[in-house]
Amino acid sequence: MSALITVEQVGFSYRKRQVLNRVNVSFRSGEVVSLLGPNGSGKTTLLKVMLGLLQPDTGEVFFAGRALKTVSPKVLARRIAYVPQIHREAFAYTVEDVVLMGRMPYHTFFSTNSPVDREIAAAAMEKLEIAHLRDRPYTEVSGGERQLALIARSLTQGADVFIMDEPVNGLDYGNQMRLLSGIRNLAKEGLTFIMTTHFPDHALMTSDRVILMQQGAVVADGLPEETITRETIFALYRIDVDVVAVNGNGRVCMPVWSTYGRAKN
Amino acid sequence: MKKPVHFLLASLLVVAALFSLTLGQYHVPIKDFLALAGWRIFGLEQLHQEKAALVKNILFNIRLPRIIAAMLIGASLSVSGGAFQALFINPLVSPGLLGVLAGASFGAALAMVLSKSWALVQLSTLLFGFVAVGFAIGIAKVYRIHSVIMLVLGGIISGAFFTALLSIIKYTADPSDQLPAIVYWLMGSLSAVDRGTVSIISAPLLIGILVVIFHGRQLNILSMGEEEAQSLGINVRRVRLTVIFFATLISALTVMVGGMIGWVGLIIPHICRMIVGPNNQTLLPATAFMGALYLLLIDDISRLLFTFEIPIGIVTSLIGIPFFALVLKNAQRGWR
Repeated sequence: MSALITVEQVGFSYRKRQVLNRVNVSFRSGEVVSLLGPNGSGKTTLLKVMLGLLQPDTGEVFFAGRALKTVSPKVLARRIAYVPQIHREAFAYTVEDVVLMGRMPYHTFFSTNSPVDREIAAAAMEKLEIAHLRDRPYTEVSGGERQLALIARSLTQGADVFIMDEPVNGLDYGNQMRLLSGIRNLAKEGLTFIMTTHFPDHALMTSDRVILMQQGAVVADGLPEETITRETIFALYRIDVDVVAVNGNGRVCMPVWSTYGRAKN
Repeated sequence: MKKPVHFLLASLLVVAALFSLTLGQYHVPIKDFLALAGWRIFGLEQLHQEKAALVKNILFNIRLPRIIAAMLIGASLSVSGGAFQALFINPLVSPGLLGVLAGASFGAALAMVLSKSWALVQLSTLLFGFVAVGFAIGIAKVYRIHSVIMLVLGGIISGAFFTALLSIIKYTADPSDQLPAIVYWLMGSLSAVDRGTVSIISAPLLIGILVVIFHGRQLNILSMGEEEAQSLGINVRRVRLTVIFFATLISALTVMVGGMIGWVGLIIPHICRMIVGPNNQTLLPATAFMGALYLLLIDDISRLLFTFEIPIGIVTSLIGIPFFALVLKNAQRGWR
């Protein structure tokens, strides 16, 4: 299958600081891809360039064969959804209000939410098992539920590509795992997920492919078991790890504590 | 009318407007009022000729314009306040955030000192309302860091600047007639409203109010953050500038008609958010009705409570401030 999103020779800098340096990556439809790299390695910037929120200084992003900058924001919004890190500063809209925001790209200036819009939103909430939160204020549900609401909004948007910036950030362990397994389930239906993460384990668990970034450049791109190794993790983070297979159904990335000292009992 | 609450507020507004028509120093008995209405609407027997002329004059040339002005000003300030609160993701901002009220006041005072022409005063009020907002946006543009925060800071600078200019005008104004005129103007009053003014401002105010209200959906999404809004297909810049333009237009027009009337644009959206929730698609129409109702009743109080008229701006502040202090405790639900 040909690539859905292609990032070609993309460079980007904030003022004088080079954040992306000749980045070449592509994403196929239905893939779950994790972007892994230290703070400031350019992961979030790459996501924003792919969303059209930032214009690259050099290079070009293509979406379904067309240069991204020639696709109207409204049309793009029907294909690509952005799930930002959880935020708290907003007004206390109900969860349904937030999910319904996903219908924005289908509305003209004067139109109001139709019963069809509400059905689509209800179906999305049903799918993510947050239907019972419909009338609760978005600001009063848990971080995990808020993240699910944003994913429901992306479904409501009709998007098939989900771009997520550290989706598990700020969630407790249970919610992290529930969110990741939810992502896996949605991916089975052919949706594409591109997400940044700080956890090699999460990348191993969820991804079909892992992209490692360092100082604005892609340093590795491939299957999780090929990209997440002792050597690459040390190169990225200066931490010694063991990557070990567990019960034959997965791998975990485990720090080797002795290298940086453990508190003695 | 999407929700029953809108219908209720609209009905209350109609009742309050009709009731306000009967209020005033000159007592128009309900009997005469009904008789006049009967004659006008149903062609029933008319009142005595002279009396009919007097009643008609009082109702349609004096009271009705003022009632319409009060409602439109209340709605304008409330809607632009509500829209700004969503736009700046902060429930504590008021329509004056970008300096429009300070600019408009300066414009009015300047023209009062330089000219005797009422038309010129009004034009200058409107013009400097826009100049002040343009100044705020200009400051934000120069630095272009995080635009919303820079806009707020630009507005603070612009507001302070035009307030200082206003002080200069006050200082140099003739203390025997110009200075009192400026000071009274700034206290806010609807006593100068006549049919002519109302017929000129009604259309732009209504259009401005409607344009802002119709941006409810966009404002909801903008209040989630700029990038999210963009990723949902919204042209953030265009929506922001459109809302700011029309909010500035209607706010400056309120100063042109009634001087400085404070606190309405802050409190009314707050109260409405507690009643209908923060969704701007329902909130903004509700603030329009509620703001109209509020200022209409406040104007009734300010012209009837004492034998002399109290400037409406003083009444809105006196009622608004303690009320705001009271609701602040509960207000968190709506926006945290």
